[in-house]
Amino acid sequence: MKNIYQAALILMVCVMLLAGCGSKADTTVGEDSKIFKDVLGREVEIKETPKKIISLTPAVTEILFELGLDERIIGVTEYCNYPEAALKKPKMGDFANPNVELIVDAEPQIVFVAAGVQMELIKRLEQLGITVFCLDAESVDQVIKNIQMTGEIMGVPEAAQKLTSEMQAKVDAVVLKVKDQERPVVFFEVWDEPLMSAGPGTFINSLIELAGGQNLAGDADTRYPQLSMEVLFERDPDVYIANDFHKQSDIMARPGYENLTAVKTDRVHTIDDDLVTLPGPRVVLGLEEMARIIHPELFQ
Amino acid sequence: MEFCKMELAKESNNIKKQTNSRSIGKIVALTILLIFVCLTAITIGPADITLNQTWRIILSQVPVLGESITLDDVRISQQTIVLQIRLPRVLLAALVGIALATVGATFQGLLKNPMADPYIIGVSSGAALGATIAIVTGLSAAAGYLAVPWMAFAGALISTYTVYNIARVGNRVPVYTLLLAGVALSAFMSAIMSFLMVLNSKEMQQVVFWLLGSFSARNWGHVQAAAPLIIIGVVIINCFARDLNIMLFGDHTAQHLGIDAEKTKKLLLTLGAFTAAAAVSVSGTIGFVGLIVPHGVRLVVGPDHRSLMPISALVGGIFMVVTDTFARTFLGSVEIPVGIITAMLGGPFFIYLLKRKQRDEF
Repeated sequence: MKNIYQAALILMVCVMLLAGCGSKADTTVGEDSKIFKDVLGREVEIKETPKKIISLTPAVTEILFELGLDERIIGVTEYCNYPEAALKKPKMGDFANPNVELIVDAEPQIVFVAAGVQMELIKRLEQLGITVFCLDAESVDQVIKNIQMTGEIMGVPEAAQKLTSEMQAKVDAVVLKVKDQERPVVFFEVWDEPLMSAGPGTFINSLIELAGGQNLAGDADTRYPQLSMEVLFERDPDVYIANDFHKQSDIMARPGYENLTAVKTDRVHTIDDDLVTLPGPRVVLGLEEMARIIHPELFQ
Repeated sequence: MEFCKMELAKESNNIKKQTNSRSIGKIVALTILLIFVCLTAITIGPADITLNQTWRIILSQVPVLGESITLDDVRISQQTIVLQIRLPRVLLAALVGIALATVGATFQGLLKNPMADPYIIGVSSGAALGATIAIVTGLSAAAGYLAVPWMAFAGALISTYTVYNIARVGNRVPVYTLLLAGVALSAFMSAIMSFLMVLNSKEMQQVVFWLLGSFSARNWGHVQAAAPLIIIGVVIINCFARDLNIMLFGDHTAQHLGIDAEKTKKLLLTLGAFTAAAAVSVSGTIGFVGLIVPHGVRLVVGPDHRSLMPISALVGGIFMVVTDTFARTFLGSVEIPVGIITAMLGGPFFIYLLKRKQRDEF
């Protein structure tokens, strides 16, 4: 019993000491502000055209540079390596875990983030009174919408319009060419050990479909399924695409691969990962590259 | 394992007074050191804020005194960094270190097992499973940033309760069945968690990051949620230091000295699980601190829980604040999960202590 009295007494003191900890950031509503809806459906109020931007996603960094807004960028992540000039921008940490302290210190008017791993970050930055806008995409159409949206937020809708119509024209050209063609089965290797591919709802899946192919993993249960070798051999893809940290010759030399149709017919290709995974302006290049790989006869 | 029987048996009143006064001196010194380490940690970070500015920002928050402090040269963003980012983070690190070290010391004594740590009875795997469920179901997106901590907390308590009930034989809880039940259930829950991660590869990184343990992006909300639970738990546990000492002689002896060993064991297991769950829910599973700090302290101050527990707590707090400061500044703008640093810094130091003493710890 003595123990309990002791504990109660000490706790009382602690409660008194603790009372008064904690506080909140407050936000005010502006007069001539615009409301934009980001890809998460959040309604974000932009008070004035932002002059100081931080981009925490390589795709948005590319979009901003492409729209000629690089002067306004005051921070990027360690992963933002394109274009070359992005490397010179101040680094705010890495993609999965950006440095909140540096972001607050830079006093940005808007911070662009991706979905997924950065969802927690959105809440954190909002609490600190920072305007956060999420731009992410799982399809080419969404990328084009995102670029348009960025242009409107930044007050450069014409530049965005010009860029997106160029992109749309290129996409349409590819789609038109492959329209009535055979659709070869394509295997896209996201990772080799374990063997991983891209399933429905992923960016890569949408590129394969647009480029006139049929995704071998298109019916998987998860977005990035681990596949057993059996499935790969059973479905025997016509085309095998991997990202370019692998050499084509190494893939073809893997034990057992000599029996794959794609290897026999010499249709193993590597592609620059950033072109097909980053939802930015270069997706069109990724799409054209894919189409050339899947339908070489159409794109001489 | 002849747990410190000799030392305690030899302890006469006279010696008791001495050890007590000596350890009180240590406790006071370490408390001052902890406060000093916390204040120093708040002045360190990637953003460029001078020592002087940091002090004034903190002092300006003190009632009455704060009104006379001028902050003309301090930007709002700098105040935000000190008050909303660094301060809650440092406090949380200190609290979690205190919680883990206290519970580690308690469980090592209670279970008479040198390998016991705060997670041994299924706390960490339960918390991890709870957090994973919150992350992959999108609950954290829907229900706010505290969804993951609360799910982790619930998971930790449910799994501990399950372990306890598996291990229970009638009215008693034999130590070895408790440990085995903990290991078995942990393995089972880790498997479920891994399965969820395979099904949700997109959220995998978030889960892995949580598992490594980190104080990044922690705010006052986390402090408010965890601090009361941790403080209550640690204070009550410390009040049972004497009972723990007596229980080391075995349940029989304790019974003679008027302590209901089973009841005390249940209570301390519950409190320990509760405190560890609160810590793990806001920090992820930071290993090593709860295992190594109490052993290190035991090597230096001996096995008497009355000094071992408070000193472990303070050393745990100091250690955690220091390692977390390392974690957030060592690589410039990129953070390292603190769990990695605790093992990197703590491991060699503990081995040094072990070699230097070269005697049986218990």
